[in-house]
Amino acid sequence: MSECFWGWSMREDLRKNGESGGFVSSLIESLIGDYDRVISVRKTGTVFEGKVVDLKDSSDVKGIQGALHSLCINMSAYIKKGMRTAIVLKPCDAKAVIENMKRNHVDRGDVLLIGLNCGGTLSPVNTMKMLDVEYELRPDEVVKEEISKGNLIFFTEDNEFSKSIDELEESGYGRRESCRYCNYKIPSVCDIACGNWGTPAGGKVTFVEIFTQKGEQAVRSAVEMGFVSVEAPSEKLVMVRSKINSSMKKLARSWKGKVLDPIMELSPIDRLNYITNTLSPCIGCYACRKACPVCNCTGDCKCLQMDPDDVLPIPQYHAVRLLHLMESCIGCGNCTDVCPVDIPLARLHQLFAKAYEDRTGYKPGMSADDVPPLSRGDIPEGH
Amino acid sequence: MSFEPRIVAFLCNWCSYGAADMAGTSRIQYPPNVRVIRFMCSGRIDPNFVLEAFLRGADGVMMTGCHIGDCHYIDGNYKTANRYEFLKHYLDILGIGADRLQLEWCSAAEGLKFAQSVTAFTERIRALGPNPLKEGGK
Ligand code: SF4
Ligand code: SF4
Ligand code: FES
Repeated sequence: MSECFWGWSMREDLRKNGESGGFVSSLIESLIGDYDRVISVRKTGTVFEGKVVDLKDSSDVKGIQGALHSLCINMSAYIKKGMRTAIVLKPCDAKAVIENMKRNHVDRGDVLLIGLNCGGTLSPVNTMKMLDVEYELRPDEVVKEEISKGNLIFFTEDNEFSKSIDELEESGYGRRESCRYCNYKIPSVCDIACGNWGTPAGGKVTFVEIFTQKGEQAVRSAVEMGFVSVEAPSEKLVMVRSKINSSMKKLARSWKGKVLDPIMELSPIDRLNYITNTLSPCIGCYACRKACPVCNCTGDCKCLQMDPDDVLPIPQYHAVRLLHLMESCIGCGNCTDVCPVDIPLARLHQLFAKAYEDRTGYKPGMSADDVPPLSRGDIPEGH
Repeated sequence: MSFEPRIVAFLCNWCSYGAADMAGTSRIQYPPNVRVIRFMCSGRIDPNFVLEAFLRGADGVMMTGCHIGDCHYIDGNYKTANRYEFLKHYLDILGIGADRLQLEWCSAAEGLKFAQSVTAFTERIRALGPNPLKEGGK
């Protein structure tokens, strides 16, 4: 059973400057020393630039940004087996961590997962173009960005510019494609999920949902040590939060209907041609495998042994990856982000994964104890 | 020119390979469209081998092994069965079609069954036509 709170930082500077009352910053500050690594993202310049930091003491906390919408980093890569790690991450990162637990690359006991609700992230290059074309802004003018009530809002020192995400996305801007049809917005596999849905306007608080005992302990001791403060949220705003969540999910379904369903509805031969043609510009750099958080064979990785010069209708490398990821692609979109020839890889992987999910009901990334239906080692039905 | 299916068949050494042998020594006729590749166990048939066969132009692929319970390595064929089901989903979504893949359990004494299933599968593939990955088919 989960418990919900509003929480905020007890540090004046963090409460004032932090987006949502600095709760996450202060919570992770309270964890320094308890964990070998305390990992989050820090803004380095404009709101579009940042880097991953391992916090060592309280002075590192300043500038910590739970998430930057245009910094699409795979946070799960920063968890190393055997290192006790507290980490701030978005829902797809959390799903990747769960998949890594299944593969014995991460121990549940070693990690504290502080999840952030996520309505989607933006690709940096596309965002720059969008700022120019749609908002007529320069990146360095922007001091704050926000997704709220279906709008993408950029704030300059003295103005705000808001546009409907729907319209932006219809014209090819807005969130990354995989985020559009991602329907996992509140990371319930984490110990704690934080976000600004269900908080009073200007209230400078974070909505905190606690899912595990470990999460509860972390928050309780942060309260006891005077890092953060919490109170019960109003019923009304708890409802508001769950409404936002369901409307985001509805939107995701409609995007799936626009992007993936039409491909599944093609005749088999047209679908095969679509997949073959989509993959044909591949130059065999294998960056997509490197970026994939769930694909982590070490040593004798088979995919990397495929000869990129072997001319086949579908590169064998992709044929294998599409197969393997059919039961494990969590839809993070990292592969699409890194492809130098702009192949919409996540679309293809999600096409397989979603179809497989529709057929078997199996969803990757949801629990470390789940075993995919055809990997259980038993005799499948009908044999 | 009429279409002659090219079929790759992966055979387990202990059962279906024996069955194929028996079909041969008993002079049971079956179509010459299969190219046989022998494995020590059907559990060694990496799904990747199946993919590669299709990518290199096979019109159909057969996986064969000992009956469930008879695998010489105890549970090798459990893996085969799971991989077969998984591959069928995959081929279906990909658009090659699940019916171009066939799994058959054949003991070493089942020469007739082996011949019959090769015949039936060859006819099925003949009806389906060439592997759609091959341009124009051949
Ligand atoms: S295949 Fe692509 S979208 Fe799927 S988990 Fe890997 S990197 Fe993420
Ligand atoms: S990142 Fe793009 S070009 Fe590189 S291997 Fe993947 S699909 Fe091919
Ligand atoms: S030995 Fe024949 S299937 Fe395993």
